[in-house]
Amino acid sequence: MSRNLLPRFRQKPNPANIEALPPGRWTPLQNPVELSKLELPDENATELRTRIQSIPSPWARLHLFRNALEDPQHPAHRLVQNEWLDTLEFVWSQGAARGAHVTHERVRMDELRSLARDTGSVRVEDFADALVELAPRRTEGGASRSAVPVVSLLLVNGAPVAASSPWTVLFTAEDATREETRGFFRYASGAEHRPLARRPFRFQRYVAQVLLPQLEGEPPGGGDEYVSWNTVQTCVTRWLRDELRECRAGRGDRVRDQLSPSPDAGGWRTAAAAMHLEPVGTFGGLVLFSRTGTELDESRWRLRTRGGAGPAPIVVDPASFDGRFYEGAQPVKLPADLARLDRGVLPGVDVHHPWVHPQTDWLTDQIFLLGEPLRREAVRGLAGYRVQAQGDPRFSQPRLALPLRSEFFRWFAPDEVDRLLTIEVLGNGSVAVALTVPVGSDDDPGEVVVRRVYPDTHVLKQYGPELTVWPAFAHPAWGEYTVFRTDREQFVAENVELRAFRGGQPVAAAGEGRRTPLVRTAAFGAVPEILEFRSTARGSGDRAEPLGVVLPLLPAARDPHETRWAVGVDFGTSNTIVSVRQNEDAAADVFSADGLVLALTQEGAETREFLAGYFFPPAVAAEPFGTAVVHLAGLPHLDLAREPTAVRVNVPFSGMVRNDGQTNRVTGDLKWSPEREAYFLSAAFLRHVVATVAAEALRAGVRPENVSVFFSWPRSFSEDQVRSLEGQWRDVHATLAARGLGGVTIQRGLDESRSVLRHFFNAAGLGTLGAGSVVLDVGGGTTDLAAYGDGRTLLLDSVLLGGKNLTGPRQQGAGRDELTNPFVEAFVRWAHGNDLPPVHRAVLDKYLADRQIHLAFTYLVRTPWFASGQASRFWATPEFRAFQAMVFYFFAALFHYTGLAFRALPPVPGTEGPRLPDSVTLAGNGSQYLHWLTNLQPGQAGDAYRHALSAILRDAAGAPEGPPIRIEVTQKPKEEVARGLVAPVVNAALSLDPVASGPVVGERLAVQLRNEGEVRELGPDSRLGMAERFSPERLGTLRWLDGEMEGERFHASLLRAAESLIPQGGTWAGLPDRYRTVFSGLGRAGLRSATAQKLEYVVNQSGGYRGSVFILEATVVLERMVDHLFGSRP
Amino acid sequence: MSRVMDYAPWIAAALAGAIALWVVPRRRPRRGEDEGGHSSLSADRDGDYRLLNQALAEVRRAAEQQALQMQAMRTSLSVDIDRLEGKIDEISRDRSTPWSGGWTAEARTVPSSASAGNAAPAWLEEAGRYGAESLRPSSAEPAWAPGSADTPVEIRDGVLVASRSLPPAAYAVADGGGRARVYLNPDAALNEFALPKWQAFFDLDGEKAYACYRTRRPAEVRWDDAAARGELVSRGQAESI
Repeated sequence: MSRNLLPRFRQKPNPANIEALPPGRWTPLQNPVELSKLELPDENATELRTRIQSIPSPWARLHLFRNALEDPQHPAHRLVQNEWLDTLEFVWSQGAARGAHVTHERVRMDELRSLARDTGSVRVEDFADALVELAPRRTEGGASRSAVPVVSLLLVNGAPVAASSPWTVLFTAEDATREETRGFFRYASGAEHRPLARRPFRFQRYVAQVLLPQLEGEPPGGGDEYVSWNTVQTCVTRWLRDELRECRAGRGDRVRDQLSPSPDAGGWRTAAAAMHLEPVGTFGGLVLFSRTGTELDESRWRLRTRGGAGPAPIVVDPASFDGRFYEGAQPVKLPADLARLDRGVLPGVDVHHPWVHPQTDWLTDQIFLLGEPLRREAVRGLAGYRVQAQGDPRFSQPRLALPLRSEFFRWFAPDEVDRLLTIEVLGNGSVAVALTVPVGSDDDPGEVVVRRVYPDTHVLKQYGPELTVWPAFAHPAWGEYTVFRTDREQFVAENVELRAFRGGQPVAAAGEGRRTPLVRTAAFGAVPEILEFRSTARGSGDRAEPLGVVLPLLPAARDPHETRWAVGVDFGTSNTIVSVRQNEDAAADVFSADGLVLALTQEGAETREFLAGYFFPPAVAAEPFGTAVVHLAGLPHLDLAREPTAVRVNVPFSGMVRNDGQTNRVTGDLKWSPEREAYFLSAAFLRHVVATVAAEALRAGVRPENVSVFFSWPRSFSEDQVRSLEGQWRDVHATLAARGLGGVTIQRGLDESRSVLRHFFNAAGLGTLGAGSVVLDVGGGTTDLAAYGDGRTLLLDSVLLGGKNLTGPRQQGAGRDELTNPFVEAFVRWAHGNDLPPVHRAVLDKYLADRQIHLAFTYLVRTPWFASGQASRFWATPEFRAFQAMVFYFFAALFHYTGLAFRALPPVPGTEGPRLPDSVTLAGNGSQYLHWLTNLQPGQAGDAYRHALSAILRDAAGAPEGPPIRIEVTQKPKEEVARGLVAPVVNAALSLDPVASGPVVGERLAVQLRNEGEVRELGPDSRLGMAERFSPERLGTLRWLDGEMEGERFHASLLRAAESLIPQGGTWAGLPDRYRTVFSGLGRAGLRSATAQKLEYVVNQSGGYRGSVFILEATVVLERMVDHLFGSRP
Repeated sequence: MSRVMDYAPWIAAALAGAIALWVVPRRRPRRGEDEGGHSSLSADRDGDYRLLNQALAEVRRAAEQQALQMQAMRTSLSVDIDRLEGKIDEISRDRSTPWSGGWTAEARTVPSSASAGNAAPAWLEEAGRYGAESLRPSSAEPAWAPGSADTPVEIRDGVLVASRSLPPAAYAVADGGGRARVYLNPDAALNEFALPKWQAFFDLDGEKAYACYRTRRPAEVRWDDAAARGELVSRGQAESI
């Protein structure tokens, strides 16, 4: 039987019958004589690495591994060690990832011959015979047996590269060096020695925690594979222990721990699971594993991050890169045009894997300074800001956009920036930036420090904007954040955009507005964690150049608790006020807020004005604010659902507006106008107010579902008007719900008259007994009248007479000129000429330019200039005196009407005379006009003016003789309705229908008031029923009755009262004559005619009028009086 | 001897490795060592670039002024402008190839290699032009320009105070004796809220929001150096640019 020999390879010349073969290949020789023909080369020890000495056994390699590992002096000792470790690392590192298909197969030797026969090849059979017959033997129980009854094979693409060994766990094929195994099994061909310590850390950990514990454990048993455990210990275990000792040498505690086996006997299985290893098979009694992932996952340059989608990129920093993307990889020379290369293919190699070039991908090319320093408490990322030498004021405080691109935040969270970024302003004015980039793995962490120096030429000379965010907190339920930007330079405003990011992803703007050339707003549907500046001078989109980021630090809202907020909104014609009652508090507080917005930059000289004028003021005071909005003149749509809060429409809480040309407009009178734009603006106003309150509630920890908003309406509102108002509130709620605040409830509260009564009862401000206590809530457009007496509500009424009749534009203006108020204009003119500071003038100019006369007046009387007494010199002017005449007429008309309303009431039980109130309390903002009668000083109870008004009321009620009625003025005007809306007092009587409800006609006339009814003659004290109203189609039936008009009776009463004031001197000395001049100029016919026109106007405006004709007469006379006293009409 | 021969290749490889380590310093970033040094990125060239930009702005200003009177001179100056622009473009193009030296060279000579990536963007140049044309027209009075000792100021609550804003709205020039003159910054536009504040300190001719103002006569203030606050003594005069 022939034997296959393993010849030494030799150089030329070869015998003719032996073909040239590479090392490791077999050549069968039939005749041993032929051996003599072989010419062996001279002995050369170095060739041991490339040749195996001929051993007449196919198991020679198995024996070589055993011998080489047993004997440290063996020439192949190091080769075998490398081969042994290469096999394990190759298996562990998933050879399949290199394009090699790795399989594991077990072969039983007793089946080998029959398997060989099946091939039909004599050579194969010969080889199988050799394998079986020359198989190593062992002695067991005195009998000799095969030591390799079973062999485990590791195949790569079908070719064996290693097999199991009973003594050394495994041995390799000499031809394991092939293309698929790439960097492995190359020691024999010249690769450097790689002990375990020079192999990947994770592999070391695998050996330490998974393999060595198996070797140090109990001998494997139970299988059909024979393992000489003692020999394995001698050959392998001891050696691996030494290798691991080398690995641990000089490493830190944490790393050393990871390279130490678990003391738990079965700990290696747990460790394998923790390392996400997958079992490959059993070799020589050991369970071998492969890792998951690729070599690049083990790269020391792999970005170490917890964020980001997709595989972490390889960080390619030319200053740090060592030329290998991972251990064992082919060395790479980075191309010169690195920054321009595809980030999806590793530079220098054709491997698809993401990579980054941090200098250009993550750092900006320029330094962008902001006009104002950043607030450290409001932004992240400034912990590493240092100034080497003070002197350059630009850098004395941090004011630069962090020179990071948004791409950086695909991988890192904003709160990591403080740790990773340092910015140092050098003595020469350059800015040195260092970005520490974590790389490697958690087990084997590393860092790449990327540096970039920006000389002064790369510090932009154009300065960035101030930034403010509303709301000033982060809350999971809050779904809209608005960024307010104020630029100092138009160039930057036009060429630098601001983009928001969250979680590394862009957040689309829900709406954007450019309020002025320098002011922009943008709303986002999520917390803007990153705000990136981008220059669009070269183009937008991808062409825009990143200039840096600001990282807002929004504090979290308080933890939610069970506090409930009842919110009352008194949406007035001129002013609005909000009250809040917490839980079971006895009374509500007027809403106020501080720290409403989060300023990211420090406050500039005009920051507060900009915020108040176009966004949210930093604080809202506990006082009424104008019912007005400032909005872009050209609104893109009138759809509240699509309009974010405070982007294009805002509420000037503090009254601050500014004349910026035609870009923005101030619009007031929101409550009454039926026009579509006014409806939208009105809803936007309410939404802005409620969103402000809701934000403060959430910030305080109140859950949205614990916030209940109640709204009121004037009693004079028709049901249609109430429904319209309700519709607006529904729209408001829908937009809140769309922003995550659907839990907030909004519901009808009470009409203003009832609200006022409830407030006074809650505050114990009304007696419950007596003939009647009257509250006149004087608003901007209406005055609500409520009376309580005999233990129940006597009257609830509302009239169309309010502060705007004194200081607003003419109601039925025919042209633009008539949308003014001569008194207000005169007052403003006087203020301009009498030290009114320019800042206030500018505000007034805007109100007047936008025809918001009443708001201008309200603003002026709230200025510090007015409060400081500067206006006292105005008292001496004719305009002031004329205005006093109007104010007295105004209150006289209200008191006369109140008298008429009381005349229509049944007498006090047990008496016969007309009913009179015991007291009249003037509430509402309009009540403060009464102080104008007493030169802006609070009057005294029982003063001449109150006496005069009392007399007018008594006259109208039909009881001219008697003691004066007590008249009081509220100390906190305008708060009554809002407080009453949420007042806790429960008075059953208040919820009953009043004795009388609705207006008295206040004049003698005949008219058809019902569809089906007939023309009815009405007297001054005739009260209109619920279904009665003046309507356009029936207005033709109106006829004035013969005889003295009620208006004339009022004027006679007024003149008597005025004459009683003559001793007061000044205005009052000539007051009766002034009135007479106006009245006589008007005459009965004139009064009737003007009143009829007014009635027609009101009826046509609102589709009907259920109100007092007397009140219309009063407004007509007031208008005529303005014309007469201020000379705008002859 | 044969044992020595066995290891000869390894010894040779080790020697070669040592030489390689000596010649080509390897960087081990995980040790966090300081890569040190800063780019010497064409500092002179940057200086030239800036000077050329300034020169361009000067020539433009002169051209605009003279063009109203002398068409011929404008033609001549325009030629100069074109030349300067051509030179600037040439430098810009040159600067726009920061990686031409290759990373290896960069890594060896400029560890903070990213500095080499700095290149002035086009819009920066445009920004400069914007400033030159809109903020500093030829009619601007060159009699005063802020000096390093001047205090940037602004008005808060009606009081003149030191400012940290960039650009500052105005500068206070101390005269000693607790007095100072205040000049509006001709490079800073006054917005709609700043304008009425400064009207208290200046008569503003051609008053309009978002314009810059040239000071004809400075406002005089009592200046408290320690508190960095000033009170108006006499109003100045300025005109919109």
